[in-house]
Amino acid sequence: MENEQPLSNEKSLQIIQQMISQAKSNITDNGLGWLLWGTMIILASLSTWFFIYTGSGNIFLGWNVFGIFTIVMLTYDIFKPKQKKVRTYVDDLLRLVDIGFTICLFTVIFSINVAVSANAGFGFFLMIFAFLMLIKGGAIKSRSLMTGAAVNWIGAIAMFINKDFKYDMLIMAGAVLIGYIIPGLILWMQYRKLNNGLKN
Amino acid sequence: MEFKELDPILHSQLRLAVVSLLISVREAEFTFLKEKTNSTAGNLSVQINKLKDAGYIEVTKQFSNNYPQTICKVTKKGIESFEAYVNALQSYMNPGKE
Repeated sequence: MENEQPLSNEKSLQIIQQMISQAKSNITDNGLGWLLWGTMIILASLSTWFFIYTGSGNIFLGWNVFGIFTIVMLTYDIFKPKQKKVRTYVDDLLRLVDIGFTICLFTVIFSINVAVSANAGFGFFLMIFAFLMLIKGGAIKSRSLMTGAAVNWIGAIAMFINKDFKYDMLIMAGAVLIGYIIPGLILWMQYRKLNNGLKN
Repeated sequence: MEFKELDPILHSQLRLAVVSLLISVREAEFTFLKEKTNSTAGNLSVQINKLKDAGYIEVTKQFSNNYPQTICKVTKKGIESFEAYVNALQSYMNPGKE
């Protein structure tokens, strides 16, 4: 873009519109976070189902590993060098949503240990996952994430109705597969397509 | 009918593009502005300095992973001037509405 060309009023408006739209289109998600997080939850859910089914010892072993993994990932996320070239108002808002979600997540874990049944607690997990997906899906205009949110809420209700914890774990795995893995894959493919397009 | 004067600091392609980008975000790195405006580093640097001298943007230089980084952010004065510029443009394009 040259600087000293004569600038008409129409051209000025065109520049303003073009630049504002360029800044808006910068909000992206490569989907890997959803894929990683979703895979961990599915593995933890299926491990619990398997341990209950086979009558093995610690049925929450998968969730304990998931908890440790989450703490490690959150610590890495906090301290990793930030490489974003731009910081938007939406970025700041989503950061607060992430913090709120993390606090809710650990509060639910605490409640399962001291106050509510595992059946209810894991239903609350799906509820807050859905909340996160709806907000993030809205921010990046991802219909698959918003659909995933609806599926997670339906899954949460199904878990509250169902009283056999073993099947709760299967409901959770199914809801997360539709809510996290499928949107994650779609976002990842869109991100790759966009990046390949930029390179060509 | 009296037309408002267009701010000469903003009435320039690259400077207007930079402020329009910065209006939409909280802050942006020099490389982001260069990429989005498709300008040369030298020209962009000169125009950023003009905007900074006018008090329209804040420029912070820092190091990230041992690489120098220039972060730009629009100021309150910059936002007010941009709004006045857009209003003036509208008065030129829709004179009957004034």
